[in-house]
Amino acid sequence: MLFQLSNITKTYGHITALRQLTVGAAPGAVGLLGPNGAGKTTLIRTLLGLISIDSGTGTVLDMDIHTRRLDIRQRVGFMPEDECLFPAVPGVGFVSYAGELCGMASSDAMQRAHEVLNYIGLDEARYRPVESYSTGMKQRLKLAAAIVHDPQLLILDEPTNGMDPAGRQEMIELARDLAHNKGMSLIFSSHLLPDVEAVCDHVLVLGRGRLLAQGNIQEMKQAHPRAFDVRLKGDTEPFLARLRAAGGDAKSHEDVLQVQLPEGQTPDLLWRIAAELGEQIRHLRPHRSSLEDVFLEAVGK
Amino acid sequence: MPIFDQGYQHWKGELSGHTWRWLAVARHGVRAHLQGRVTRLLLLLAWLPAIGLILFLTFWGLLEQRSESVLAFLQRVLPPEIIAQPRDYRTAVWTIAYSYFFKTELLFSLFLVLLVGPNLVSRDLRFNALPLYLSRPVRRIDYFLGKLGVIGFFLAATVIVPAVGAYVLGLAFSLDLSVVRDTHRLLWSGILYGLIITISAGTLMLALSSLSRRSVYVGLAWAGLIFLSHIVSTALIGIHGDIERRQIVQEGMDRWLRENPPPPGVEMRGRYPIMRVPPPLPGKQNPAMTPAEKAQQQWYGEWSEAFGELNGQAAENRIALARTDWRPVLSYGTNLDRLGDWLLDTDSAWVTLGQATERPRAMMGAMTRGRSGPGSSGPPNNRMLADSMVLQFPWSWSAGTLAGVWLLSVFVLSRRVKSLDRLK
Repeated sequence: MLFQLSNITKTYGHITALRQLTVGAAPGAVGLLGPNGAGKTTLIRTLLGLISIDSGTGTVLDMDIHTRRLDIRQRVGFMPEDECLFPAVPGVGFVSYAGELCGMASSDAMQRAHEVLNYIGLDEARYRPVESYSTGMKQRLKLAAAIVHDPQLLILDEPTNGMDPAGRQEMIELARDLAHNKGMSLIFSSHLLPDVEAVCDHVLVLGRGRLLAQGNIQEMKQAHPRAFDVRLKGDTEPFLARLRAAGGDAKSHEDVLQVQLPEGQTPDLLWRIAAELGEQIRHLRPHRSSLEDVFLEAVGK
Repeated sequence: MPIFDQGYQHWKGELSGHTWRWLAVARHGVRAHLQGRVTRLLLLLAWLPAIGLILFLTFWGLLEQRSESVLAFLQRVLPPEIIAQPRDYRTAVWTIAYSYFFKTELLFSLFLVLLVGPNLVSRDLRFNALPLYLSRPVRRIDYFLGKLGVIGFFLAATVIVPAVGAYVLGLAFSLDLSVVRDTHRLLWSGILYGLIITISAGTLMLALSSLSRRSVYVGLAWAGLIFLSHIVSTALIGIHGDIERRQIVQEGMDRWLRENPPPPGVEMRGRYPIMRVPPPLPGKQNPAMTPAEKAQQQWYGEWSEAFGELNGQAAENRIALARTDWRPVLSYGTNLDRLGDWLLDTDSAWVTLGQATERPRAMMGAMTRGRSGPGSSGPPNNRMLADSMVLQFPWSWSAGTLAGVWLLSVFVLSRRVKSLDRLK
């Protein structure tokens, strides 16, 4: 298992950040979703052994989160959400210092820093002071610092925050490449659902310190047998009235009707109603949930 | 654009254990500060006292070897007892030489800490670097030790390394292994003293550095704390000493004047007579003086003696008060200085030298009597040099003060450099 937590509770004064949370994930790319205050950052800090939890047990990479905190951090790379820098160093010094803090020898760390900076595309800026980097460059620099020691697990906390669309796309591609082509497990925490969908295979949805939903993204987005997206050429009101009279339901979403067929019916019903009303069906396909639907459904529970 | 982009490669190297992780923090800080030209210059300057110490110990080694040229020079400077038996004074002379070296280096150290220390924590706070440290296998204690190690490196380079180097060179020039027997205490005391300076000044500077995100304010706070505390302490000692001295001398002179009123013809300005006749010379009489002038002259002689004695009492009182005066404790630098004197046992060294200088003075006897108090008159006082050269208040007061400052610094650091559990 990548990690396994059981009955984790963490409180900050009167606020309960994690509430009897039991969750686990297999190696791979795991998305961490949840609204503000859901407990995502607390969960990440728990995994890294950075905070003292009130109760519960757990392992990360088969290491106990209570007794082997430093070992966990040595084998995990973490890219924090906040803007944070080692000051007064060039980019390559920043990354090599991060490597030394993980236990790499100075010469190894420096060599590895050059390699990693080439990989993330900061090779041209490696000798510039980090204070002069743009927001996107700083984000990529933090990613380089997180992977310099070749961790087994990489945790990215809001990695695309503050980046322009091109930079965001590059960050997503890097994360995806690391997770899918380089064999590095990934926990990707983000508010941006398309980013999570682009990078991750699995997703955990947290809310109010609890696990609300969990699973493979593709499976969660599976087609619904009685739900269809329908687009008509003409007026939709008579069509809706006939459908509801037949026991079905629909709601309008932009120019598409999201139709729910009555029990035991097939899409033939839609064709029949359209034929009776003289309407043309221009678009008909089984409805699939987006990750947003999954998220909203989980959070709305 | 690289010609051949090899992409991401896995790394097969070994990661070290966690024990020495603080060393990475210290190494990084030292590398960064050694790039500063002013730091390098001050480091170089701080070696000058070490060169002085090495030259002195070498010179002393040559004196012990009865080198003609050295003897010819030192005969004019040193008491004959020391010239005759320099080995008897070896420990004392080495101790005093080391004591002066450490006093000078203490000053350099405080400046070096001012140069190196302010941005050690404050800049990390300004750039929010703590999450980067603490999310890696680095504990808060590793962070503190690493930052302390930066200060430790520079202080070791100015205090401990030159002290040890001078010891080895002094030993080499003495050509006598008994030097080790006589002086090895200095080596260990010096190293311990260097560690105390590093831990005390380093922790205090880190605490100050954690109080602000602007290193300029930290530097000002350090300078204020070190130098203002010394100025305040010195001023309080001076004011207190002057009040005590005036009280003794004025009350004594008032009493003496009531018992010995001035003869007619002696004009007084306050407690001080204005002489119209020449002052008396010991053992000589001026036959041309009238009886009234002779009476004036005799009274003035008695007045001078009483005044000298009272000044002597005041000086003795000052020395006695210095043993229980709390005012020097207000100065951070003086506390370190006092601890250094205790560790090196400078007091005993000055007493040994005092014996060598007091015997000839005692032999001179009444020839040296005058108005300057017991310093140059009275029975031999082997402690005269020690009392005037070494701080006499209890060393434990300084140790207690420094321990208190250290505990306060640790408390401030633990509150300001928070774990990620308490970070936003």
